[in-house]
Amino acid sequence: MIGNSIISVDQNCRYSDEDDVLRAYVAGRLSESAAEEFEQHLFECDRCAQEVERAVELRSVMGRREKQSPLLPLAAAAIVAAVAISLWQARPREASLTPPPLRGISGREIMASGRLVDGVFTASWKPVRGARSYRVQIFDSIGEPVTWTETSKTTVSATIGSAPPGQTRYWKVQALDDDHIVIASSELLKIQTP
Amino acid sequence: MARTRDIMASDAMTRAANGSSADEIAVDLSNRFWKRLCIFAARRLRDRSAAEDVAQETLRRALQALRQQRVENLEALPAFIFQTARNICLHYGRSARREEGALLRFRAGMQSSSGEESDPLIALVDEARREGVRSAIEHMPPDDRDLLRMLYIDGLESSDIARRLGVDPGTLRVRKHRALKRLSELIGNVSP
Repeated sequence: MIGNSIISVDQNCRYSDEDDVLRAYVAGRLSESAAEEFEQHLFECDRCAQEVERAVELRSVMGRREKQSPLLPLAAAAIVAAVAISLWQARPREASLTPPPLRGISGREIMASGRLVDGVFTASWKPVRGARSYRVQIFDSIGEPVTWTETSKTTVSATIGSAPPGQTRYWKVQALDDDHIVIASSELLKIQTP
Repeated sequence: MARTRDIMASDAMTRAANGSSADEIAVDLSNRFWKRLCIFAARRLRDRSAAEDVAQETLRRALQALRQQRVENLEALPAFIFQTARNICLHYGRSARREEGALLRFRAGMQSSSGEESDPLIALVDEARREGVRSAIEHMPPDDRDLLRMLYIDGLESSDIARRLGVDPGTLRVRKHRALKRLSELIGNVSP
């Protein structure tokens, strides 16, 4: 929280547009000299300070994996560990320098279709192997999310009303695995009306 | 590049220069600098308690300097606080090294139950705050959640994220700011 009584805004904050430095700082990936240079700025720029604080909070929540069940059999854990070690050892050398790709975002595409009739949006898509659920999202004409739902089926029907005159809505469906990670996605599709 | 900084001295700051209303000045300073001081010190000392000690001592010295009018220009206050915190951390580090043996023995006896030992910053977030943030995230649109994950967890470069999402860097910045704004609003609504 930033105090109300002193407001300091670095109008030409060079880190606000090039925010890779800020995020590398939070992740502990900056060199000591670069980190110190950024910290000096951090004391002068409330906007960056707020983003750093929020990023730290997000990392404290989203960076944590679900806790392992204490009942997980030791043998299964050992197998998982052995597979993980072998995969780690077999990885390309440069893999340690780059973050892992998001699974499926660009690799697997879901074939889907949908249409809007009398304000009711109905869509269906082909099932994806390994998917535990599907997330359907509706977007307005500038790409802002309007609403969304999740289902274990491969069809959905929901009342969303009509788009404002002259505006188009879009939608997409994503397949999620057991960890709620996106493993496949449709393209961003225009909502068809009769 | 010349930087324009808009600093408005409040009544409290004016009182600071006059050496009165110390409680209000302390609150002002604490509200503004406490978290970033803790982050600054935690990164160096890798210890939450030590970081909070440094933050407290830095604010105490800043308050003293203001009351003694040793900070002539309020624009110099952030730099003064930065330098003070840096010096205290260096001193703290030297003191800590004298106790290195004991610390090592202490740490060797600690059980590692999470990744916090390797990320000194996240240890600064207490459980109640985490619960508020967690609840807010659950109420966010999935696209926002995915974007924040890519930005702050997966460690992707902005250019990579923009390419993955099929948007230009300017649009990505707008989406990021909107997602952070929505998150802040939700945290405001769900925090205890």
